[in-house]
Amino acid sequence: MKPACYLVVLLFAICSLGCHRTVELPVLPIGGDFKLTDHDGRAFELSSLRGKAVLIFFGYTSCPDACPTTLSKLSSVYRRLGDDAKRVKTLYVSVDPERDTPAVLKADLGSFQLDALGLTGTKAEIDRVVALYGAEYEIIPTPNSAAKYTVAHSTTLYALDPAGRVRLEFRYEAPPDEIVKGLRAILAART
Amino acid sequence: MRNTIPQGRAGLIFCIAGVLFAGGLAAQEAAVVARDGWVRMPLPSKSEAALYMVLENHSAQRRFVVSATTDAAANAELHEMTMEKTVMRMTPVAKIGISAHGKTSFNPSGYHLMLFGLKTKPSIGDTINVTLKLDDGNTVPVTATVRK
Repeated sequence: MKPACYLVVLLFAICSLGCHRTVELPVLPIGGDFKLTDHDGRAFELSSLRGKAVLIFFGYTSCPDACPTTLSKLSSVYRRLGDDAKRVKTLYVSVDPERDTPAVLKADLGSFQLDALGLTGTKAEIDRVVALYGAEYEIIPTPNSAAKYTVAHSTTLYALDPAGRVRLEFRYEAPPDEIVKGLRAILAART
Repeated sequence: MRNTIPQGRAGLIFCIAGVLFAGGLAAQEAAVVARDGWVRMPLPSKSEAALYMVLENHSAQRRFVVSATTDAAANAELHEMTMEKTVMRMTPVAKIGISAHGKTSFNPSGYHLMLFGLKTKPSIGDTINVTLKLDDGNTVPVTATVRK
């Protein structure tokens, strides 16, 4: 074999290794198991979803923009996932437990076409989950508004592997295809 | 010879002047116009919705929207959504500017009009009429279509 051929084979091997590495996602130093109440009023434990990829984001149902936009985008992600959609569960953790009762969460999530559970709990329970994932929120009184208060909150979407570890974070602006690609990488990754 | 205007002609001039005056008023009222109005379909448990639109200012003066009213809801408020790093924040604002000969978009991730206390549950395709009040006292009609 000529030297040029060896070089081509070597480059191909390096490229293949590089491509393979993109599937081996790092485990991010955030997250962990938690317990909350689901939108049917039942006790929920994250550990019950082992074997599935899980998407987690924080929000509130009175949110006019970010939350419905994210839920609409995730509906599109589920459509694009095809059969893989069965292996993905979305958790919508409310940071407004006063207004977001399980019944409200269930009714409002019903407007979107995705396999999602609305989660709520006491403020202390929610604060613990927010801290675990490195998220943040703030209840802001708006006495001159009919809303009485608004909730500033993180818009990051956390993607967990079937072992419950956070492997990817998606920014709010991430397009559906980026999330689909990330989920497929998580589902294909060696644990 | 007296320089008089025959009575019939005076009436005609009065009419023309009236039309021009009314036209002038109409032109003044249309200095700011709203287009592409739409309302995000409220979620099942909610009686509130966000309204988006584009406001065009055809005048040489910067104008501000200072309030809004609608028969469709108890309250219409000016709000702004801002993103600070990864945190979304929604804040009521007192006024929203439209630069001279410019435009201001109300869209998801920016300004919007919040309608609180919707009197009836809208359906996709319904229209909601809103009146904006400007800082110079003029009003701007907005017609918005309900969609997902």
